[in-house]
Amino acid sequence: MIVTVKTFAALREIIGSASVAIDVSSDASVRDVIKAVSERYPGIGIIASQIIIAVNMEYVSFDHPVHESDEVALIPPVSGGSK
Amino acid sequence: MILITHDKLAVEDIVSETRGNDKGGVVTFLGTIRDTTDTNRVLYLEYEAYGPMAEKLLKKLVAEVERKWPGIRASVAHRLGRLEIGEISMVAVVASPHRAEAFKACNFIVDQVKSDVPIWKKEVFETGEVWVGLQSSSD
Repeated sequence: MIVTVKTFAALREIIGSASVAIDVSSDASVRDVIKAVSERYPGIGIIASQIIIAVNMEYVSFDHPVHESDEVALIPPVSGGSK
Repeated sequence: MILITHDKLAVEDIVSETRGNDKGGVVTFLGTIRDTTDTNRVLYLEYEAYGPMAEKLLKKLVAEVERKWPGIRASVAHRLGRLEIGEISMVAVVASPHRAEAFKACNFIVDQVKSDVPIWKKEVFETGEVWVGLQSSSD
C-alpha cells in the first residue's frame, strides 16, 4: 500500500519535500515506514534514529500499525517555545 | 485562547482575552529572539510547525493546566516563519485568582511547549545554520 508521510524541519530539507509517498506492505508498522524512508533517503542518516512518529496527530509507538488512509508524520526533535 | 500564526503576536490582545475581574494576578511570559547562542552571533531564526497537531496539543495543554489549577485561565500563542533578533516568538499568559498558581502554571506551559509540541526552530548564524534539538554525529 502507499502511505503518504509528512516531513518537517531538518528532515524536510534533506528529503526536499514536505510529503513523500512510501510503498509498504499492508500489515506495516510505524517502524517499517521509518525503515522504508531511511532506505529511500539515506541522507537522513543520523536523524532517522531521533524521529518520533505521529499517526493521525497522535504520538504512537514504533509497533503501531499504519493504514493507507492514515496521516503519518515524521517528527524530528522539537524546539519551539523558549529555553 | 490558542494561536499559531505567521503574524506579529499582539501581546496586549492576548492578555486582554485571558484576564478577568475574578482574576487577581496575570503572569505573561514572552519568548524573544536572542542575538547569540553560545558564542555564535545569530542573524535570524526560522520557526516551522506541524500546524494542526501543534494547535491540537496546545489546546490539550491549556485544558490540562486549567484542570490542574482550578480557577485559572491560560492562553498560548506561537509565531512561525522568519523572526528577527528581539522579536517575540511565543506568548504564554496565565490569569489566576492568586499569583502563586499563575507563576507555576505559566512555567509549566513553557516547559511543555518546549518538550512536546511539534514546532521547530532553525538558528541562522553568520557561519551556518542549525535545527535546534537535533543531535549531530559529533555530539
